[in-house]
Amino acid sequence: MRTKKKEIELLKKDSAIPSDSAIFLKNLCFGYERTKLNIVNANLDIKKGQYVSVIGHNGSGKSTLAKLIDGILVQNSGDIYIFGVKMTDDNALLLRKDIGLVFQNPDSQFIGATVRDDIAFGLENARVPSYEMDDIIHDCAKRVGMLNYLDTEPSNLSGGQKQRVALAGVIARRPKILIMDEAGAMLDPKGKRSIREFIKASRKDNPDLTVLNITHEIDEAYDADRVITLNDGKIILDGKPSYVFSQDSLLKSIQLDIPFAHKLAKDLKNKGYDLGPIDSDEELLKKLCQ
Amino acid sequence: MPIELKHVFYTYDEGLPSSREALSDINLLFKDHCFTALIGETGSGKSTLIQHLNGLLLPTSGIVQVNDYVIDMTLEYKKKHGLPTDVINTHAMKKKHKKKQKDIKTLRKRVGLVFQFPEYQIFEETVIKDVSYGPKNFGATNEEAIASAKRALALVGIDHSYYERSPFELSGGEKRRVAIAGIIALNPDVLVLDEPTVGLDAGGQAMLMGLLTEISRNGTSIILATHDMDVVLKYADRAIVLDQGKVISDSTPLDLFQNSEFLNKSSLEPPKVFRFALDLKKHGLDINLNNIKDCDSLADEIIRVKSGVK
Repeated sequence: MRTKKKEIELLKKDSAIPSDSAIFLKNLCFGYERTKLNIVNANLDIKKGQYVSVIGHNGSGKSTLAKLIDGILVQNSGDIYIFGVKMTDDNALLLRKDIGLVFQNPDSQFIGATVRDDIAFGLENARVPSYEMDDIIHDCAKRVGMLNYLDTEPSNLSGGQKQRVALAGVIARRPKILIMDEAGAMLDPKGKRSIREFIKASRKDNPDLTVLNITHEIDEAYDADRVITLNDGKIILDGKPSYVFSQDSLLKSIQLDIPFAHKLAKDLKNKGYDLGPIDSDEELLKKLCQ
Repeated sequence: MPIELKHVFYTYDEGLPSSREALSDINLLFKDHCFTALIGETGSGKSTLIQHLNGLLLPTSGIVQVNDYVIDMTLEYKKKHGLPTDVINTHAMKKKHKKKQKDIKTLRKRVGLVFQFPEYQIFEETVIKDVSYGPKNFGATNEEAIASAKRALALVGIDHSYYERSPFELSGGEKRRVAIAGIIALNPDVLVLDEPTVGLDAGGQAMLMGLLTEISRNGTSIILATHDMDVVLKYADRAIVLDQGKVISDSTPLDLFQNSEFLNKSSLEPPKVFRFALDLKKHGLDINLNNIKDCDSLADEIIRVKSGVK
């Protein structure tokens, strides 16, 4: 039995890590095979309460990074600090309590026989007393718009609905760090919007919530405070969305989409109609309609 | 090979308290050589509908006709053949019905179905084995199966250096292309795909859609369930919108995206490029919406209007 004292020892913060840091990566390297690294020397400091989007093409290492941070994968070298605590074999499970992870495919994250059971599963694991569960389940299901489906079987839900249940199951445990691995990819436009609104609302509820959102959607990435771009396991761009998405040619060269206004202005320029630098749709519209 | 659905109803868990009607009186004709997009919110019945197209699901009632192959589940047919008509026995009846219609396997060969996340269906130890599994299963010899596998792989842009690799070592986009090749290797007349671009990066999406255009040019009909309105605008000839198991709109993408009254009521919105074209039009630019397919064609159209060419 792990004593409280031992737990405190295991969760000792490293004084070298900034106190406002939620996720700190130091020279992190990881490879699925011996010959190739999928994460190459990653250094990152994600602050408490920060909303970070991670973009990159398929196979660039986005999901690998998320799994390393959650301790599902173990790095070859380098260190991961969660709220200043260095992750080790002994404390990974303890640290993971603060992290909620939602994957892309909802089918691979369903456990319960009904929506209610599925949300309850995580709570049971976290030893939440049963008299509190009902309220939490109710509240979380309501936040993702699945209140009318509490007794529905997962097999009778659509992909998007399952994903909302997965989201409810994760937030029910009140994580301090929420990692979403293309959680909206399977949803329709309305569902995608509801994910964006969900993130906004969750951060408003809890300003200290740190969000790491892996996404292919530019509009979604634009919501973040910071956008990190991965290519072949390396962080190649890191900054405010307006800065990252102004790097058109670099983004294009690594198979990523660029914002609509940039794309159209570029197409026009290539066809001999140069409008000069354009930053937003409104600006483009104004210039074109003069 | 036309596919026709007549008064198709489908209910999950029929006769149980959890029963839920997923399709309600669907009447659709999918003609040859057509690129059709199926649109609808999550839970609108798209995936259920798709599984009817090759007999994977049999309708609770109604008729599905694929070319000359008829799956008849109407009350008259059930009575005529002494099949039980009450709800509780439907399941047993369906089994019996399936056995009787043994050529349903041929049907599956002619209507190729690519599920959501097809990469989860990969199971063989090498790429070439996985792709040739389908043809072999449908009676092709080893050589024939490998030949069609090679053709299909070439089409999806997977070259011979991949043949002996484990499909599980490939990236997500590559895996998906291998999985789709597995269906194309059957050389179906109709290719049905359930949200094939989900989770692919921009490059992977463009590659996949290019591939589908190529296949449809070769005469294969494509039916595509998608949320991606850019894809609908650029590639589809026809856009069908489902809502709560019913067809609520069936038109060209252009007509759909111009029907603002309908769009306001539903949760759909035109793709950004189309909305921008509409904005330009509102501000007095004489844009011909017929010419708008994507960003590139909008740029052409703007230049045409600006330079005063009629």
